[in-house]
Amino acid sequence: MNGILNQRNKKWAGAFLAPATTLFIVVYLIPFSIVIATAFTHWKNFSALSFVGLGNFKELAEDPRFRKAFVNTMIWVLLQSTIHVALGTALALILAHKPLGWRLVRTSYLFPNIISSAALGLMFLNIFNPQMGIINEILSKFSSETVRINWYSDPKTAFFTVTSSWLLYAGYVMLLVYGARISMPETLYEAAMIDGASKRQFDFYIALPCIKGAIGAGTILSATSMLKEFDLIYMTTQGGPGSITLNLPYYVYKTSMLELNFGYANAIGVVLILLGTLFIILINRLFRMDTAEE
Amino acid sequence: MHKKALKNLIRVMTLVLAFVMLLSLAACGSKSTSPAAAAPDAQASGAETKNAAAPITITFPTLFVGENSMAPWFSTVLARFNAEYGDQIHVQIEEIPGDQAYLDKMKILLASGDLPDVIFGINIMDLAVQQNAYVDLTPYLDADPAWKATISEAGLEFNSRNGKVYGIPSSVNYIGYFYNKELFAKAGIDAPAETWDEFWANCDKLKAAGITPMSQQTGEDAWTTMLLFSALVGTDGEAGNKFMNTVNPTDYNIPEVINAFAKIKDVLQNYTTADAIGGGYENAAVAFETEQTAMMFNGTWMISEFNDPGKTADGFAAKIGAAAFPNGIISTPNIGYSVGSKDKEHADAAVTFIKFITSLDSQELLLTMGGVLPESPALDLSDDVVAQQPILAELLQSGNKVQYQFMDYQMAWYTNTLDVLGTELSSLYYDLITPEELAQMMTEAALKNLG
Repeated sequence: MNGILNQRNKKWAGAFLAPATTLFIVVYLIPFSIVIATAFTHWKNFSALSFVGLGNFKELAEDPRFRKAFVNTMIWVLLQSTIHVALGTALALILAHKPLGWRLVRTSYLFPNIISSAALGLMFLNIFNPQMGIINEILSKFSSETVRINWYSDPKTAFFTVTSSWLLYAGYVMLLVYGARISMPETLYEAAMIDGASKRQFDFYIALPCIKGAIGAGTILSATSMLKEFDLIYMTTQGGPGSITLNLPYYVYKTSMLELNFGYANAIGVVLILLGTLFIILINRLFRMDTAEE
Repeated sequence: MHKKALKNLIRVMTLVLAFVMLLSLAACGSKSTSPAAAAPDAQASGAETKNAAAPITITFPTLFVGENSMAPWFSTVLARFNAEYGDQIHVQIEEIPGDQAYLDKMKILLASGDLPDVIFGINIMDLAVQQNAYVDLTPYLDADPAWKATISEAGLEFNSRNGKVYGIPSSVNYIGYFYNKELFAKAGIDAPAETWDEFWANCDKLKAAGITPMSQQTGEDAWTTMLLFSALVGTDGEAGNKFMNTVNPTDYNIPEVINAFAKIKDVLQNYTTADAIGGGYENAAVAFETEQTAMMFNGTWMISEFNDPGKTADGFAAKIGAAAFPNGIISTPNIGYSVGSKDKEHADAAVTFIKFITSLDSQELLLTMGGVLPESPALDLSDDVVAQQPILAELLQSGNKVQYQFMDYQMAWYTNTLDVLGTELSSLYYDLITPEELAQMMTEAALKNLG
């Protein structure tokens, strides 16, 4: 009876794991494998599949819309991993000190994250409506002329407007970091105060290093959320004007659903999978999330 | 002993759980047990499907729900069908609001080989026939000549591929534009224009009177804007008219199209509301129904909204007139109801339902409730019937005078070209692209469908 699992128990352990493993294989692994395999085929308009090697990927490299979608996605990943996470972290650290109204702020800041993104998109469409949206109405009050900026359709403002739909609303990151922060032993804070540290010094030099795991997790979630952001773009700009707000997930939708070019769409999917894997590895390394805390 | 019993219980439960989960995986798989689109034999006249046990269930995803102007008509017809056939056929409705959402869903189901029993009027017929996913309705029609006689030759031809009928139409698209008589009078306009020069002069008069001439939309499928585009091309001589009567065109690089795009750019910049750029159908409709704009291009199904207190003020309908485009009108059969059933029993039931929903009674109800022109030549559009729809009557009168008729572009063009419009008309407005470049983009999009 050496080891935790003897032969008999191993069989039962296998039985316990079997349902979840089977589900994973059927729901994820098989479709995942199909996506990768068909990315190397010409599969369009329900035609028979034909192997084309790296043909789809070569076409991607020469496709201006793919390049634009790729760049947009990378910019959004970068912004979301930095500004978005920084906002959530900063707010979490402030709320941990329980200033006046902290409960209200903690709850209300989550609202954009708990509303369905379709509803959120519709809301933003109306807020930024050039004819009757509240943003233009407010700006008109401070201007001698009626402001009619078409926030989502004007090439000068479309990218910024779409970005603002998610960049500022770091509710989930705030929640993650806040949870990690309040889990820290109170004695650390007391000791720091006794040693003469200010709240900000405590936050910066003690709290942040202790909760870097949670920040890292929040960064992974934020970065990878941009690799699957579809709803808000679908509801607001559909990737336009032109390709100004096009991202990779929406381009997958366009090529598969509208052009019925499934092989090409799956090639974009493979790029997304590789990007996601790369970001997770990088962020893990950056935050040293695999090493034990000293 | 007790511990051993508990351990055995847990082991048994684990096995049961594993079995249940595996069963659920099997249940999620395909239900298909027979070849797709098996052609029923000619004995199946589409008459009542006899099933003494439980009623047979057929699936029908529909966009006639919510705020759709045909929703009240559909509810009424469905209730009548259930009253007559409810013990034999159960129609399982799936609500899919929005044309684009409906089209996307049907494409996904086509790709997964899981089309519903009844599909309504979207342009996937070529793909579905190519995939052998639609049931050939020709034997049903041949077995019931009386039924076949109620459908126009043009409607049958429009819904046929390779000599086989795959769709049963119930309406025709007859599209011009609606105008606000009060706003017209305020601008000093006596009657709708009969030439394009008059039309643009009227637009300038409206602008001078402080009225936004027309509703437009470049977002979604750019429906209202493209209706104007269709009219500009469809009335631009024989070449333009031929283009607008071509199914699945692949070359948009013709002067008529380029000139029309240039004019559309002018319209978007000078004759419509600010939220038309990037805006959807609702923006255009609200602008017209709240009397911010004087004209709205749309089909006759919009007429029912003019009496809807939830959408318009009291007395709005009395202010509205309808006119054909200058010298042209969209007059085209519709893609009708198709059958995607995989076995004969469901196909028969689906045909029974389609027969009912496209019957003369249903078409007449659609006319009186929704202002939609019936497809059947057998339906007598008596003066009494038309008199109940004065706006429609005005459109019919106006349409009878025009020289050119042309197709509804949504029924005729490749669907991915519509997506180009949704994103690139804004680019045209903001001078990111020229009309020539937009025409080229449309051409490239269309050519992608040829493999």
